[in-house]
Amino acid sequence: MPEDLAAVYRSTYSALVRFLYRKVWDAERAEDLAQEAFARALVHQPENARGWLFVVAANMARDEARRQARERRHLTLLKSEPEPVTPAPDEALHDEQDRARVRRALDDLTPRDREALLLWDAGMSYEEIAAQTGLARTAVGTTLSRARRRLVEAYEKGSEAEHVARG
Amino acid sequence: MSHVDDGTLHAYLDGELTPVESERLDAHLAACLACRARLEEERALIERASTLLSRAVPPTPERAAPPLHQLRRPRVAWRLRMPLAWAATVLMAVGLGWFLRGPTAVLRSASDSRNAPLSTETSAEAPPEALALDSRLAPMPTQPAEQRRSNEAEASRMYRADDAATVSSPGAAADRPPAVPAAREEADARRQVAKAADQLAQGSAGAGLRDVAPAPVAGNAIVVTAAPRDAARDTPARQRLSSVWPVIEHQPARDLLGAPPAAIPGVPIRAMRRNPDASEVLVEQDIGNGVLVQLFERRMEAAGEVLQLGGRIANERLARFVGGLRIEIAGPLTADSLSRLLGRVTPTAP
Repeated sequence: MPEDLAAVYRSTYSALVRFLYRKVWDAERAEDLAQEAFARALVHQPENARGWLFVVAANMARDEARRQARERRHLTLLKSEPEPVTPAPDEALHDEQDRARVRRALDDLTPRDREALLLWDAGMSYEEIAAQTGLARTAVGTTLSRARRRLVEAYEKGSEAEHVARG
Repeated sequence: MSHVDDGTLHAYLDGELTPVESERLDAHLAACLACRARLEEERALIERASTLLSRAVPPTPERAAPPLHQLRRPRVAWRLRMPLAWAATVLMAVGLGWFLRGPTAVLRSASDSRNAPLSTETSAEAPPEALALDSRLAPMPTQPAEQRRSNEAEASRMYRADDAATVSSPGAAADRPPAVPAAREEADARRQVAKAADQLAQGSAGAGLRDVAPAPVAGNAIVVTAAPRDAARDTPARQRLSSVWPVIEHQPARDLLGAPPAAIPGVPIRAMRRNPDASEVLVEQDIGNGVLVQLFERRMEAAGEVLQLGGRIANERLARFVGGLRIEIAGPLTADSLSRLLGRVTPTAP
């Protein structure tokens, strides 16, 4: 019997939005995609709704990233001027920079390491991560330990580089 | 036991080791200082990575998630509703077209519908889709302006009701912006008449009917029936022809029926007519602003033949027997209103 999708919706929606945000880096888009994933789940009524949702969400995020890349290429052809920078309060600016730094660090990971880390952070078990990424159950711990180490290293390297650049 | 690898330490800290594995690791850690130190390092790493990830969240707080049931069902329903809305729009547009046509047009199209018999009451010489589309996408010089507006009124009402304004052709809307308010007024007026008719049906005879603003019906218009008709004898074309049936007086009608013709009390009788083979009487009553309700009446015996021919009494919701007559009602009202009006029909005084 399929899980109660309403319960999964309550427990997993926010995690799914966060998971998607770290892939598309657009809050509204992430929410839209999460809702779309649940909408599809309503139609398909999958046995393991939570796992199914993350698989679907990951696929949608991948398609979204491809689309964004296409649009970016298109846009850079159209406009050469830099976007106007909107003035932000210091705190917001700091958050924004920090987010960008984490984003770059995440981008440094291999796709499989990143996927495992994001799934874990979204509340998936090793079992579920294994099922979703194709990793052996016993390899998940190793993958996660590597992903975490690389994330922290890449982040700190990025911060140092910024400090150096600023002088 | 040899030292443990990072993966096992992470699995341990993540609570993902089996009880047996956990126990074994606990035993090793108790004896191995180096591994205890590494365990703490990995714990700090996990915490650090988790902190970093927690910064990779949307800058603005998440919007409230819509209720789950709203995510898909409207879209699914929409898939069904869209064609239905179109079908209804087309039916209404074509029906109104008929409604506003004069007898000449009726005669012409009656012969057309002989060539291509259609099962609905709203057949037309043009295919329904073509007519509806024409009336909305392009000005039709041969069509009265009122009619175009009516079509639009119905069309725009459908779209408003279904939140599908985007579906309607933007070009058409831009061409005739003033038509929309006019169309709304007209639609409102129609609703008012319908409402008044409901009041009438409920017994407050004539109350407020004369006050209802713009008459939606032209002088010698005919009425689109809402009632299913006997397939055998009352073809749609034949019924439309009823507006040119010869007018007769009360007494000949009574002779024809063998009983006093029936009518809705308190509502002016505009005309009584008979069909060409003198088997049926049509009583037309004006419930206000030229809105005509038609009562098709025939002897019960004659009706019996029809029932045997058609065998569809179960479907004839808008028909009943009154004083030895079988009465069918038709008019530009909801089936519900018609049904209530039919309930009030009684034999007229001799």
